[in-house]
Order: sequence, then structure tokens, then C-alpha cells
Amino acid sequence: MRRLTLYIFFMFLSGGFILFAQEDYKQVDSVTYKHFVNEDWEKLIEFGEKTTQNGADYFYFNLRMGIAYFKLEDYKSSLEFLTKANQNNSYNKIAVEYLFWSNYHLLKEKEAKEWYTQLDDSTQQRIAYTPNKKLSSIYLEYGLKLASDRQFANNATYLNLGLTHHLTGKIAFVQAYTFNSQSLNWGNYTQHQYYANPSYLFNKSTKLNLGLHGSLFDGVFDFLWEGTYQSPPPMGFPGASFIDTLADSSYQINGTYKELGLLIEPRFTKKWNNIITSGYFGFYTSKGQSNYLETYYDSTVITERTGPAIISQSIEVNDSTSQPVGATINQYTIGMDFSYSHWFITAGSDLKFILNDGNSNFFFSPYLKINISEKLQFSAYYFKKGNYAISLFEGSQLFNYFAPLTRYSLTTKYSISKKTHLYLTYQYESVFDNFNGVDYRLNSIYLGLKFKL
Amino acid sequence: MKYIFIIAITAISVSSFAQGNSVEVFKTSYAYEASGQYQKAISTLEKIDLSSSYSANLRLGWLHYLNANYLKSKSFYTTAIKLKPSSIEARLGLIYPLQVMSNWDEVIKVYTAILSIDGNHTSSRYQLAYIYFVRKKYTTAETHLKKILSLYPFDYNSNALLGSIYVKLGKIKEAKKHYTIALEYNPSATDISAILKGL
Repeated sequence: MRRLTLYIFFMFLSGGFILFAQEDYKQVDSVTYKHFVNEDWEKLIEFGEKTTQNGADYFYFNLRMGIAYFKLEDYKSSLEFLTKANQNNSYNKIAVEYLFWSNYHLLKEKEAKEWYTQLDDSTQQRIAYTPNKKLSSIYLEYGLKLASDRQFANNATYLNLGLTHHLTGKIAFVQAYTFNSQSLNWGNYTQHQYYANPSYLFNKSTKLNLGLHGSLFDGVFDFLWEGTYQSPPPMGFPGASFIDTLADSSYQINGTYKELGLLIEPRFTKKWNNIITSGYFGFYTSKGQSNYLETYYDSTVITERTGPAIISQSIEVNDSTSQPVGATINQYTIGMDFSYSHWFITAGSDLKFILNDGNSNFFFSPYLKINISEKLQFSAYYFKKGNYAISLFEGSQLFNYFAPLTRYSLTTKYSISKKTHLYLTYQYESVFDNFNGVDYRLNSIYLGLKFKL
Repeated sequence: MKYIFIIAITAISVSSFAQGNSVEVFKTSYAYEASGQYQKAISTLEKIDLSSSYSANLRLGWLHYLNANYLKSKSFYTTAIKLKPSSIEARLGLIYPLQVMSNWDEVIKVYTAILSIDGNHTSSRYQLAYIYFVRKKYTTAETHLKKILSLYPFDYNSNALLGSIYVKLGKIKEAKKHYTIALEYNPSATDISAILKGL
């Protein structure tokens, strides 16, 4: 009998459960509203998820849940509730805007674009979203490097053309061509460089990219040095004998030197709020092809005299010619880039450990960015390198000259419009010239224009 | 076997209670509703077998709406529609909680469903036209209003709304025409007079 009583009790209870399983609207609305106004997103979600299971489905509930998930950067869940909110009331533009941003953060380019078109003009202007295009920007830069010591080096010219492509929301490709040329006291050189950087975004804060940078150095040697050495007049006693030396020397180098270089730099980048870190490996290889001759000539006349009378005289002649062989150089790098942003300032540094021909080197390059206003930005960086190659900024800048170089760089970016940006760069460099064995300085000015399409 | 017999007797007695006293239950619920005791009115009606009673579900939809529990109101109206799929009154009831919860796209779907059952349900068509007007879908609103005016050419609200739609569409001549008809219906409508003077 007790079993029967229980059975009947549960029969009524189950009917009652079906009736009262649904949450009370007033409670759902007031609790979710309270958490929403207090921006207590975790509590809102905890309560809302239980409520959803019990059948709560109306516009403001779904909107609050969608925004709560959005604030916690769970964009997939945010999308789920905002989609329901939009199905409840497609006219509400708050849901539409959050749907745009959720898709934007999930890198769903096509969907983001569709939601963006549903926003009114003023909201579109505020967001100023530009859907990525196959060719999304063009960058053109020209510069002049003014040498301070013309007896060793003349001015240098620099040209850079860069293109940015967004193949999908997640896959981008940057490519650039750079041209350098300079004439020096030993000849002249030109260098052509090509940079490619395919990247894959896992999400808005995680990226994998591969920096590839090829270079073709083409040098022409045309140098002749001639000199005569005459020993100073004797300071001895009158009538004593002395040695008088007259030396004629020359050094000549003629021909060409070509060098092919390739940098491969895979990099993983992660962003946490206002901190960005990236770790990378670098492999640089270069192969030189020499086609020049170096000729040394020495003629020394040694004369022993007593007054104007010659006692003895001998002549020594040294004459040698060599043809250097081009070498292959391999260099390995492991590096880390770290930056921190606060308010309008970003400070960071690129740190590298470089292994080159059995020698290990540490390198660091600090940088700073200051956003003065929406239109004006300053950035600066510094580095000092030794007898090794280095790359900066995801491999986009390659310094493959195996000699010490110090650089200070200051760039001003001015946004003429949302799609046109002007860059003005000043650089001071101290360059060690291997051939002459001296430092010379370069003061450089670059003018760059970036067009977003 | 003994238990099964007892359960069967219990079920039959519950069912006969519901049938025999349903009129009384409804009467009691009306009394509670009239005195603003919605929860008691609801509790009274829940004695009826809700799985098959269209009228009880319909009334519970209304009472939960009055009791500001719009989720339950929606649920009971939906059940009522399932029990009587061609019911227009249940759909009109469903619109109440949907409107309060701002589920406007669902409101549109319900009005559209009503019009598919009865194409001449003019009040639903007018409401639909008004929603489209608010949503700036003027040509869709215009189509609905033209259908209403083909049946009720002298309808004040439809003429006034169509006049406003034509103003938005830049069709001033047509706007004046429909505003004038609205004014003919109600010459004391000062707002329409003011708009007409401004055109």
C-alpha cells in the first residue's frame, strides 16, 4: 500500500514538475537585469544557463546572455545567444552590432561583413570596419642616406614597395621588395631584397607566421691605391753613413662580388590583454660568388750613403695577385619579442641569441610607440650589432652586412585619412666599413605612404 | 493487479472531476481574475486536464499574461494552438506575451500565420503593416494597407498610416489623398490637419 501511495504521489508530482519547470518570467528578468547592470557576467551566465534549460527564450534574456559571453570573450557562446536574440527581434541594432563583433573576433569575415551591412550609417561610421580584401594595402617608401665622410662612402638610396593581402579572415600574406644602392671609395653595390610573410591567425590573439627574406647583393670593385715612402733625412753626425729607403706600393682590386642570401624565420605570437610575446627561430644562409682580383705590388730601394756618395744599393720587389673564393655562411638564431602597452604607450624589445661560425652573440633591440592622437603616432627603435646578420620586425628588415652597425630610428606616422597614412623616418647609423677599416655615419630620411584599399 | 485497478479508478475519477466541474472551475477563475487574484485563478484552472483542454490552456495563457509571467503565458498559448491548429484567438493571445518580451519577429510570424488562416483578418494585417512601418519597410507596409483599404476604403487608421508611409516614400500627392480621406472620417483629427498643412 505504501508503494501505491508513493506511486500516486510521484504521478501528481511529475505533472506538477512539468507545469512549474519553467522559470518565472519576473524572476528571470529581474535577476538577469540586475547581473547585467552590475556587469556581473559570470553570475548572469550561471543563472542564465540554468534558465535556458528551463525554457527561457526571449529577446532581452538572450541579448543579456549574449553580451555577458561577449564580455568574457567567449564569442562562440555569445554568437549562440545573440542569434536567438536576433531571431526574437531582428530590428534591434544592439544585437546586430554584437553579432558583428562576435563574428569579427571569431575571424568569420563573411558573416561579420553581412552583420555590418545591417547596421545604420552612424554605427557603421563609428565602427569604421573595412572588410579585408585580397589586396588590402599598398606601402611605398623612398629614402636617402646621407654619408658624413665622403672620402669613404657616398650617399645611398633606398626604395621599398610592400603589399598586404588578406586571403581569408585567418590567412594573410605580406610581401615587399626593397632596393638599396651606394657607391663607396672601393666601388659600388646594389642589393635587391624580397620579403614574404604568410601568416595564420588561430584567433585574434594567436598567430603563426613564417618570415622569408631573400637578398641578392651585387658589388663592383674598382679600386687602386698607390703610395710612396721616403725615409726622413738623417739626423746623425756629419760624414757618417746612413740608410735611405724609398718604397713604392700599390693595391688594386677589380671585379665583381655577388652574394645570395635567404632568411627563414618561423614565429609564434600570443597576445594577452596588453602584453604581446612572440618566440621564433631564424636560419640565415648566404653564398658568395667572387669574381675579382686583388693585386699587391711593393718596390723598395734601400741605399747606404755617406754624404752624397752611395756606398751600396739594393732593390726588393714583391708582387702578388689573389682571387678570393666565395664562402657559404650559415647562421642560427633563437629569439623572443616582448611588448607591453599601457594607455597610449607601447614599449618592447627584441632579444636574440645568434650562433654564427661557432661564435655566439646576444643582440637586443628596444622599441617604443607613442600614440599621441588618433592621427599621430611616434615610434622609435635602437640596435647595435656585430659581425653577423640580423632581422627585425618578423623578418621584414634584413641586415645581411657582416660588420658592426649601430642604428637609431625615429618614425612619425600621420593619418591623412582612414585609408591614407604618411610615414616620415629619420635614422642615424654608424657603419663600420670592412674594406677601409673605418666607421662612417649615415643620416637617413625616408618618406612612406600607405594606402588601405 | 490490485494496484493497477486502483490507479485506473483514480484516473477515471480525476477525469470525471475535470469534466463535471470545468464550468464551475472557469466560473471560480473568473471571480479570482476580477478581484486581481491571478495566481488563485491559475491554481483553480490547473485542476483541469491540461493535456486536452484547449479552453483551459487558452485561459491559462491569458491569466499568466496578467500575472506577468510571460514565459508561461507563451507556453500555454502555444499548447492551445497545438490543440486547435487553426485557432486565431489563441494566436491573438500569444501576441500579448511576445510583444511584452520584445520578440517582435515572432509577433510578425504569428500575424502572418493568422493571415494565412484568414486573409481578411484586417486588424492583424493593420498591426503587421504598422510593425513594418516602424521597421522602415515601407513598401511591405504599403502592400498590407492597400489590401485593407480595398475592403475598408474609409478606414481611418489605415488611411492615416498609408499617408505617413507615402510621406516617407516621397509620394506627397498620394499622402495628401489618404490623409484627406482620414480627415473626412474624423474632421476633428488635429494631428492629420497639421500634417496636411505642412505638406
